[in-house]
Amino acid sequence: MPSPYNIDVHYSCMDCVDRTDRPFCNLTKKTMEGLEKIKFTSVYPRGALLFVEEEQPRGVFILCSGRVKLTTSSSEGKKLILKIVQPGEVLGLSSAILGKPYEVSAETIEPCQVNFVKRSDFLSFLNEHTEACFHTAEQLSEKYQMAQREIRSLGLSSSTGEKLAKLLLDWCDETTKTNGSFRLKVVLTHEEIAQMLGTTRETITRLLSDLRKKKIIDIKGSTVMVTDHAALEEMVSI
Amino acid sequence: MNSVELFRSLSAFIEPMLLHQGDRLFNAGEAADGIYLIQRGRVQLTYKNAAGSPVTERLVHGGQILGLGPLFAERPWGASAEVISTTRAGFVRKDAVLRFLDEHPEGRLAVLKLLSQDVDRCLELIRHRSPAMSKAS
Repeated sequence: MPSPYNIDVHYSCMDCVDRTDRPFCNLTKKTMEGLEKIKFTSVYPRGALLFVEEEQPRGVFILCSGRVKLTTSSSEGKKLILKIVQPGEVLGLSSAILGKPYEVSAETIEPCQVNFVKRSDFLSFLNEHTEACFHTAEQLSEKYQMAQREIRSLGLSSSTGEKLAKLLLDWCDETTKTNGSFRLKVVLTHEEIAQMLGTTRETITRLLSDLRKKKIIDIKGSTVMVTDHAALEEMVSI
Repeated sequence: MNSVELFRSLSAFIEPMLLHQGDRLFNAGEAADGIYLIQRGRVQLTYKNAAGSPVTERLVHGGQILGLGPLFAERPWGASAEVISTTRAGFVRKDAVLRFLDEHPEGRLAVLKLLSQDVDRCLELIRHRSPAMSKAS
């Protein structure tokens, strides 16, 4: 059946095959039925803004498929990508719970399915379902730990080359090795990678080109093949 | 229920302890099997950076709760906690915390608010401290 942006849309969470692998969504039938009643399923193209920094919280966004980048801006308008969010994560949680403006902006980097829940409905849902509360606490705790790791890394004076190597290694961890190399489908532009690492687009282009010349990676279109994982590890451990 | 009321409610379950300067509540990497209510005094949280040097993460004062994050994420302590002035604290075991929250919906929402505040505080720090914010263009 045709679907928007060629993604497989699940309108019912009960039918979602990934549900049990996702900590927030792995709810009992009764709780899931409660969620089904209050969520709105939407499909977005790449580049859609789910919410923006400083906006009053409208609700939470459960990412069902696709990926989303979270960004924050300085007072001069400079942008930093904090995280690439994977399916299964709930976005806008802390702001919705506290009733404070969103701390970050969320933009899709590929076509996404999102289940939106209005703030008032979400708070009532948490009040009625103990299980959902514990799953939400788990999500918040994970976000807290991730943010703490990010803060700790701020004090480290890594070179941009080292940061890029670390990023590629993190991406390798999310994929499996085939025929001796890791095949990474990179949906970020060089500009976006620069915003993740706090550098310029030109530097990222140059560093990727250097890695290719050294035969550590190979690039074909938007696919990066990591052919020498050990060399990347060495760059990080220096 | 606000954080003060949550603190008071959980106090009924504590195993009280009086700690002196230099005492340790826990070490980074140890299993987090409960939470600490710091009733008065001061506790320093530190972690070791990549070079192995200790870095102070933050100071915890009376009225604050330590350990909600590791408890729900089911992760070990991310930092070590050392007492820097005489501290009265109480430990509440994980099963007692979960039992309390199971029976008190208002307590659950208070915990979610505390965790949300922790997340927001970290995001605020990242926004202001990140060197990327002064380099990216």
